[in-house]
Amino acid sequence: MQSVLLLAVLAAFPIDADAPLDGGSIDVEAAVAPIDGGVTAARDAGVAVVEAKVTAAVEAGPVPARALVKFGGKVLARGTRRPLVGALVRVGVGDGTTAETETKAGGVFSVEVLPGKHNLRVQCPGHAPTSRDVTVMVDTSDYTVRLEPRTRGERYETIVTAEPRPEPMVPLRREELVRTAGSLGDPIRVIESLPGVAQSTWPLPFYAIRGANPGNTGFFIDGVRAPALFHFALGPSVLHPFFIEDLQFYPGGYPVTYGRYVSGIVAAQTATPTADRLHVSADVRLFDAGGIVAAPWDKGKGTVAVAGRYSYTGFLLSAFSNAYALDYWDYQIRADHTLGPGKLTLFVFGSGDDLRQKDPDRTDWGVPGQPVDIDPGRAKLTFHRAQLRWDGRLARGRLTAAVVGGIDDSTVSITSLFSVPVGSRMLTLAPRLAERWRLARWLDLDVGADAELQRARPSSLMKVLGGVLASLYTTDLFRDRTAYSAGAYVALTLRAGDRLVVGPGLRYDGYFEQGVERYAPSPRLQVRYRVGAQDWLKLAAGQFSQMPSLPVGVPGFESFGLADYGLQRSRQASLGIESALEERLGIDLNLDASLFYQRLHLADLRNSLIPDPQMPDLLEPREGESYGVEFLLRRPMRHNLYGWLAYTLSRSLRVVDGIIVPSDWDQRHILNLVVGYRWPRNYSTSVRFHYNSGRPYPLYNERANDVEGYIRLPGFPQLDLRADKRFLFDTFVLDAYLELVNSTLSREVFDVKRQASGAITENYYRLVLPSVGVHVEW
Amino acid sequence: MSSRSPALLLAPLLLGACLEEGPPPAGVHLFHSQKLAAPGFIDVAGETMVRFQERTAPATGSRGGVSDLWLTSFDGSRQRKIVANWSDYWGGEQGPFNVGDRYFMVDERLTKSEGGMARVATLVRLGPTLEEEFRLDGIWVWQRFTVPLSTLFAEPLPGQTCPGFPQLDHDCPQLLYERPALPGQKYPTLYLWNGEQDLIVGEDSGSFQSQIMGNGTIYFIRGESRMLTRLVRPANLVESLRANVSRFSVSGDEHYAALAISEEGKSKTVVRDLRTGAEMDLARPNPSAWGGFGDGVFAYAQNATETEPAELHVLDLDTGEDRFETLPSPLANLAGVLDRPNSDERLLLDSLGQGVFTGKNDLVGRRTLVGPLYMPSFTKDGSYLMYITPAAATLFDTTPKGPLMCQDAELEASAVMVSPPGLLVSADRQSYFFTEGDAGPVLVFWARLGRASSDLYFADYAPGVPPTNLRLIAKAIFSVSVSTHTLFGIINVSQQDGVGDLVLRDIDRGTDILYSHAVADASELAGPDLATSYAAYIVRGRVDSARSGLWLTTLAPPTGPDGGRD
Repeated sequence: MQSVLLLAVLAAFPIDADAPLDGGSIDVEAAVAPIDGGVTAARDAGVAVVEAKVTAAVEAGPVPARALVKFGGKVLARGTRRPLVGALVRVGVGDGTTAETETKAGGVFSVEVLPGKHNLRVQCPGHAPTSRDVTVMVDTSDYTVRLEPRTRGERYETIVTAEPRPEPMVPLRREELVRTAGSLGDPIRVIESLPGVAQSTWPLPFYAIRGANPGNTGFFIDGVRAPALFHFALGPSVLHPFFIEDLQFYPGGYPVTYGRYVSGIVAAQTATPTADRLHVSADVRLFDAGGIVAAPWDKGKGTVAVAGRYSYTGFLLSAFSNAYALDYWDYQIRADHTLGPGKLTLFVFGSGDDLRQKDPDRTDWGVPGQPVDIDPGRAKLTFHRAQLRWDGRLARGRLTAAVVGGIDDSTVSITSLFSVPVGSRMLTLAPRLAERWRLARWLDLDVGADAELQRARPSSLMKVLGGVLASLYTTDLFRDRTAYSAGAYVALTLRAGDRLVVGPGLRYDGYFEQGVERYAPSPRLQVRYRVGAQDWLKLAAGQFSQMPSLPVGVPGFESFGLADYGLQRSRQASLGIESALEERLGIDLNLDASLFYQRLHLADLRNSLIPDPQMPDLLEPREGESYGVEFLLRRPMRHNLYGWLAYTLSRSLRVVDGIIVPSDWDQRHILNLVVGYRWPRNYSTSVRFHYNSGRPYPLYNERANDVEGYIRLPGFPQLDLRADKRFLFDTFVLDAYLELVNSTLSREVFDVKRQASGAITENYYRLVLPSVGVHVEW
Repeated sequence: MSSRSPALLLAPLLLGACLEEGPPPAGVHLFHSQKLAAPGFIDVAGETMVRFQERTAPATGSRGGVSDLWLTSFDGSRQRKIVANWSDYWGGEQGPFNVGDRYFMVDERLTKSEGGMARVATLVRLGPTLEEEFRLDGIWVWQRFTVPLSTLFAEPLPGQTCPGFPQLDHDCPQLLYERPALPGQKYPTLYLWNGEQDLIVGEDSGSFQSQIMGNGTIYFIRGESRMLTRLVRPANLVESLRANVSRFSVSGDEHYAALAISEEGKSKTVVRDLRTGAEMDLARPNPSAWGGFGDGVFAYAQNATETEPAELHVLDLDTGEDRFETLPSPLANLAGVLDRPNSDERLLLDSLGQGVFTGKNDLVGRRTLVGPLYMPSFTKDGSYLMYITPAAATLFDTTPKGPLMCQDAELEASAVMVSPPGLLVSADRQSYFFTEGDAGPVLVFWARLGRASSDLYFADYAPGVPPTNLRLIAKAIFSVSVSTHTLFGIINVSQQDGVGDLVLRDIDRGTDILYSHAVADASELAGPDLATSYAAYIVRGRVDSARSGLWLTTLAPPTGPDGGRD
């Protein structure tokens, strides 16, 4: 693709002092390798680039006339067995000269040398060089060299990136994702440490982003909209951690390629399975165990990866709780194969949660003589998604065509959660088409369309009983229904020199449900303007729309009430600055600070204390707004000491009964400090300190049988600790880690009441989540 | 644009406008506070005023909730605090301002007493214009009553008025009250306040058990000896009647008293002739319940046992003969009697909620209803028995509740569920009644789905047929007054906030006049028409706002109603 650069930045590429390369000089350093023929002056992009130049040193002296033999093999990374392409292989020929070559695809190298004993030196960016003597007497083609990856020292990254996009976004790389303390090694939970994210009650994975409801944030996996991205309770994400390559977090102002959410977007990309060989990895944690198998097929034209995870928290919970047992599982399958000028990808994933009451309340649900035959005391949430996608070059652009099918199935019959049993089964079909053209060096064009068809078959007590109850109380959420939503978009990315990037876009969505149709234009504008050598101003504004939604995502309970509640809408604007502070401070730090404002029209929970989905007044449309400032100071992960400081000061407001009041999610202050350090011998540690101020909560006075007023729940400080150790073997890697989340046993207060005695009682969790894990990768 | 948003630079710059509040409440904003409750109307010296209370402190472990009580004129120009620091410990949380109420306990505090700290307060009485009349300090329990003027003055003078109340000349306010036992005293002291002065009646036994007769005579149990004592007025003569009494009931003519006696480690019930001192034992010495005196007899009951049925006893006070009849099985006792209209039957109910039909003049069981029957009542024509049958308790709702049932009184058919299946009707208070509609009786009841607020239903009743034409009148009601054509009150209540919409609903047309959102409490003053009818109501948002407080409106349509949400 024209716009993609490979910037191999090898600026130091030091020669290990323990293994000096004698007899020659290396005038290193990097290579600029074009992808898809597009080469852009990397220096202009502010990245140091040096040209590669390897000079063979020639020793003086006569050369014996003997027959040469071939000496070849592979250069692999130690542990992972990853073939290292571009590694420099130098070997003495035996005649006073030195043969040298670079490894090709598959890490393969081959040189010709005289029979005898020679010195072999191999070096590759990001790995410790090696020097050894080898004896070559006959043709050899299977000699294997394993280079140990560097894990500390000031490292240089290989960054594959597009040219700067204008959307405000926080990109996170894999190592940050899995090694940040507090996330339990779960990549997607890292977002709770980012600016603009309020977690309603730790450890529940309900994230209110920039003051909207948690259900207003969309989760996408390889472009597939997931109905939920987290298992409930302890809340690991529904993807195996090592299946995720990277993550983009858009707290607002997301690009037009995404739609139908009024708040932020979390987009995860899965890793393309490597085509070189079979890979197997397995991990065992305190809560669950999982694994991935990836292998090439059809002579490397295709790859397939299968991952799965199963928790045994039911067993663990049994040790602590007489009331509940909990299990969850998830799986992922990804298969790729070249097809024409592109690649066809099948991606299937699914998730299940099962919470069981050990001694459930047997109830006739208030209907004498008519017990409802529903398995009591159980909450089961499952969903499955399958996407078939083709990516490739077409019509002088890059085309993505995909279709997604899905099944959601959820039932809840725990009276302590909901007063009567509910369930829903939903089928989803979602086609998608997107094309990107580079029309000029300064202009990109994105055009696309996507749609989603959902058929829901909910079950509820009303349906069972029918009659007056059904006619009076059945809300649209519990009616058999079909919902359509579709959108099309066009967006431009204009680059005026190296100072200005402007991204105007327009998305237009239509929604069809409950016998009505609603249309929503969503104009968006993103601008980045370089005001200094390393300082960018960024501005984003846009309008967004969404079907009415529950406050948190529940598979099967989507796309309802379009006539009853109308569309959810938001208008967002943010203005910020992005600065690299290295030149000013002498420390490699990046500052990102933004002001944001959102005007909201949402389907809000009317009663967050008893969020029973069957209540006729479960939701009500409310106006709202949120505004604040987000601050992110980040030290890149290429340093031994890395991490970030994130702080959000914000307000989230709603018009409730005509009066402007703080919303249920309003956390004024959110602070996250993440510090990681890589120690020698493949040790690393990470610490996370989190603090959020309390959200408003109704103080119920049991004596007066009334709400006495609203108070703020206490703030929640949390200290998380994590230590990792990597053991490298020739053919496999073993990672072990120990993590303590909320190591100081801080109290998370989730409910307060004034008892009849007058005393205020606080209901709280005081949890520490220890985790010990082992990950083996072969 | 909102005034609370100095930091919203981006909103007007990029998006045009900030968040705005909804339509304002209707009427006049009389008093601003976030902590108001219990609005109402009260006549003060011929002027109707609005009363309300302002909570100043919530109840704590050692103190009741504290409020100030206020009055305001309709235009808000005259407002005054009539009681400061009223404690709800003695009076409940709601409504100290019932018509005729003039007594308030204020300045609650703890004081040293024998046996520890005692909770006392100052009793304040207000006069007709709600000005303070007097205070009694340091009391912990009290009982107010009135007695005829003649019981205070053997020979009243012409124009004689009640002591302390020159405007009253018939029923004279009196108070019986106690102060806690001081250190060194074993029992608290019982006082009588006659309107002008306190009389020390004596040591109370600690139970504050008294019976005040129409002639002003007071019976109570005194001191260590648990002596049944009589205070005779107007002479204020104290007479000792019987020791070792733990409970008593005096007949209306004061000839007899039923006494629970505890002597020598044994207890029994006797009937004592107060004139002669003679005592009669009962056939069942420790009956389960006393039925009381009447027509020369004393009635009492004995619960059923595993082997014997329940008994109803009648002791003839003249002859001492103790006769009894057994209650029909399976009644465990007699907890209530419902006469069936238009028949010779009655329904006997026991405390377990079981019912047996008998003749009105006998105890012969005719038909049995296996309960429990909560809140039973007959339709006016006697054809049906309405009741609530209990549903299973759930983890979060252990209150008695269940579907509303209709059972034909002859038990020829199975009971019919009147409330929509799946809905629950509260059985810990009256949750249904009949009212007269244009075409006959209308059944009114309120029922809820799960843990939601109750919804209001109507159903038509025609004799001989269970209620039909069930219809939903209002959702999530809080407090409403209802006729067959209109409903006034707070509906659409949010359980999270405890507030709802104040509306006047035309039930026939299905239209609403909306007065305000976020209404926590309201009271109606009915007039001949809407323009002369008033509503006083409390607006309470989640946070204090310019709208918080007491509002007053006529029920005539306010300007620009924005409609209800239902």
